[in-house]
Amino acid sequence: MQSSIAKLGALFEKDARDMLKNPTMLVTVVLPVAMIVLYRFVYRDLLAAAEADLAVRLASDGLFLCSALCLSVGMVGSMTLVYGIAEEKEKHTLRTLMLANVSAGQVALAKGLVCLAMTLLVGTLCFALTGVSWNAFPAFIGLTALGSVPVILLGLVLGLASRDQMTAGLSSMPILLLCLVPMFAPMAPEAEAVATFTPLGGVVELMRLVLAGELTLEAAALPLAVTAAWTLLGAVVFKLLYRKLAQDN
Amino acid sequence: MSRTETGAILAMDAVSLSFKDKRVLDNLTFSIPRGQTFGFLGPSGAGKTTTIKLLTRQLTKDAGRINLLGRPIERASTADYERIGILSDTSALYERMSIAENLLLYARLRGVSHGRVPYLLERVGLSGSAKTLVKNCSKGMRQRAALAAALVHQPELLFLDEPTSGLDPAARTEVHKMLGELKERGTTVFLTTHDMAEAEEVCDRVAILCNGAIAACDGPEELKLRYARNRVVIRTRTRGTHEAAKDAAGAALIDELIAAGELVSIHSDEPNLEEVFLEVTGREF
Repeated sequence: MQSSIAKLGALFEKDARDMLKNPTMLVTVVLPVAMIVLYRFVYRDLLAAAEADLAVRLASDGLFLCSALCLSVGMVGSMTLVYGIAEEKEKHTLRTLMLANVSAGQVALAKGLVCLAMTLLVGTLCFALTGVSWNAFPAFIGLTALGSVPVILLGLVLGLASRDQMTAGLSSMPILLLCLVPMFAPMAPEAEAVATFTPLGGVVELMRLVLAGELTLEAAALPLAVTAAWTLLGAVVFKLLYRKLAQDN
Repeated sequence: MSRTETGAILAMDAVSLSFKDKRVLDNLTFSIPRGQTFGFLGPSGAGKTTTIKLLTRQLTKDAGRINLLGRPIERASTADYERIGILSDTSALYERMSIAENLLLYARLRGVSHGRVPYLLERVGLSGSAKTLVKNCSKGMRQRAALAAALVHQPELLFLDEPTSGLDPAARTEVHKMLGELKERGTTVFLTTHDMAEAEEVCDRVAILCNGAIAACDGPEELKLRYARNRVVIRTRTRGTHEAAKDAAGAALIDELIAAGELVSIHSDEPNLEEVFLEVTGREF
């Protein structure tokens, strides 16, 4: 047990340092923050109106927080992991780790935790830039963490499925787009129906319920079920793929 | 194990493996006593790396039995694999980290004190390059660093897949010296190579692999003697070089040359391992 924790600590430190040194990954970290800054510029009229009107403020807070959540989880959660794992596969460092008696669970957990920590950090930065009251922060960061779990698992799956970083670039696109769909749901009724069932659809809906003060067990049931379903799907496919990767037959 | 030694640290008994319809390993049987350096020789594509992959659970066999550290490989535990070190043909280090940082990572993963890293860097001749990022290292430096990573936890059993491939002669000599030290400490080494001179220098026993099957298995000297030609080469002062059979006629010729004051030297005409390989398999490297 102690040796497993030590291994996990070593892998976590390695992955965290590597993320900071890797320009590709840093871009995915910087993009959500840049997008929120851009949003503030684009929606400056809305923000000004929100100062005087409570209903507008609610809509504005919802728009900014849901966007911050989707961008930070979607970009950091999916892309950094897909690229990270694909690079380890391409350069054979993943196989070398496995031959050094590191288990599938340890690799996944370390990468997932680093990704989660980075997502929460970026989420916090984005939150700070939105200008929304810090009273909403606990709900925002909690839902960001909850929404990260299925996306991280899907990122691990796509990373394992990618042959190299080139294919990782392609395979991360669908998951990124899926993550961003709930951002645009309020703007298009067609998107709203689909958005509920995307990986982040559940947590975005929960965020809206929290902001509107309408969070009840009944209202939360479907969003939670959607999040749980994506988490389960990611976990099962990851386990199957990692087993396949460990064997060359 | 019916046909292999029961006290062996590693043993394969009638192990076979196919990829689709192609038989890549055919009825492999050998065992390695503790502390021995065992060379697995053969040309590219003979099945050397595949055998290492079987022994390190990257592949699963179709038939036969494998004993690893005294128990069937299927029952080998995580703790057993902590006693093994592997330098494979794809062993790689993290490119954005320095050599020392990579070794420190593997020391932490193996639960080993950081104090061992400077020693290993010294042993593989990379002390002066400890802070060099792996992406800036030559192939030889990477290979030596990967070897140090495989040795960081002082494994009892070490798998080395072509460890001197890509190394310059000085680095190769250094690796051979390290292998000698490992042997002195009792480490068992399973070494694949297609360098016959290397095998002769460092291995206690070798197996010659051809088309996935073991064509011969013994000590290098024993193999050379087994395939020695029954003749000697005689150099004379004025009559050139002669070949003579090791029989009465050959002895008479030597007597005559001695009497005539012509004899300069007599050499036995033993084959080297490469020639043994050719003899055994009829193939060139």
